[in-house]
Amino acid sequence: MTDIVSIKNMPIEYRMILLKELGYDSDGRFVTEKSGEKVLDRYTREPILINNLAIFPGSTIILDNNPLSISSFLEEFGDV
Amino acid sequence: MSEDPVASATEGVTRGFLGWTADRIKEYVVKFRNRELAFIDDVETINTAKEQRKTSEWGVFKKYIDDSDLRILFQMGLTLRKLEKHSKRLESLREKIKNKYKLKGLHFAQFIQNGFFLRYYTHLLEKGITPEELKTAVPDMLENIENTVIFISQSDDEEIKTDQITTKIYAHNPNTFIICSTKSTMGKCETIKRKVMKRITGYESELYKTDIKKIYFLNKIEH
Repeated sequence: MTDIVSIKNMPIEYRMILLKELGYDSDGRFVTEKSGEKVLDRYTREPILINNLAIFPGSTIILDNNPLSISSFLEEFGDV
Repeated sequence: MSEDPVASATEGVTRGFLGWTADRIKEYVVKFRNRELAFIDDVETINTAKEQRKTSEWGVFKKYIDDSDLRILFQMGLTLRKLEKHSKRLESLREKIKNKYKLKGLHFAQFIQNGFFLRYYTHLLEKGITPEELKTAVPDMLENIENTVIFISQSDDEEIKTDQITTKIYAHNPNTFIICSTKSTMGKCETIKRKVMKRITGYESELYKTDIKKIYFLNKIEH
C-alpha cells in the first residue's frame, strides 16, 4: 500500500529540492529535465506546473495533478 | 497544523504542513524509492478519481468497455458530474478533455455526466434485451456515439440541426438514435424531434423527461 504525502503547502524551494532528489529540475514555474527541457504530462502532453504536482513511485512518474491525468494513471497502473 | 502530511492525507483532511526540511525530504525520497510513498499537491484529486472507480455505475459498465480511452472518458463523465457545483474545476476539466480527446471525447464524457447513457441502458433493459445482446449494444453505442447521439444547445439553428440528425440517421441506420437536451433547450429539442420525425420513416419516438432533461429515443420499428 502506497501512502499519499500531501505537498499542498510545501514551499517552492523545497519542491525544487524534491525534484532534484528525484533527478529532475525546475525553472521555477514548470518541472524540467536536468537539461532544462520541460517535462510533459504523460497523458495531457502539457508542461507540468511546479505547484500542481502528482509524483508516483515505480519509474517516477510526474504528472500534472488534474482528474484526467490521475484517472489515466490509475487506469494504466492500477490503484495506489 | 498537522505535523505529518501522510497522516493528513490519509485522514482526508487538507492541512498545512510547515515542517519541511531538506533532510525530511531526503527521508521521504528513500521511502518513495521503496514505493512506500507518492507525493500529491491536492489529495482531493486522487480521492475523487478513486471514488469514481468505486461507483456502482462504473462497476456495471466497465465490463462492457475495453477501449482504454473510452474507459477514461467514462470516468471523466462521472468526475464532471461530481464537479458540477465547482464551476472553475468543471471548466478546467472540460478543457483538458477537449484538448486531449477533441469535441467528440467531450461529448462522450457529457453523455455520461448527464446520465443520458444510464437512461439509454435502462431503455435497453425495458425493451427486454437479452444479456448477450447487451454485450454488443452497449459498446456499439459508446463507440459510435458521434453517429447516434446529438445534443441540442441554445445556439443551435433548428433547421440545420434537423438536417444533421436526418443525415446521420440515413447514413448510419442506427437501431436507436438519441436526441438529448437539458433545461433551456428542452423546447427546441421537441421542435427538432418533430421536424425530424416528419422527414424520416421506419422510426418511432419515445420520450424520457425529467424537470431538467428531455431525451428522445428514436427507435427503429421492428418488423
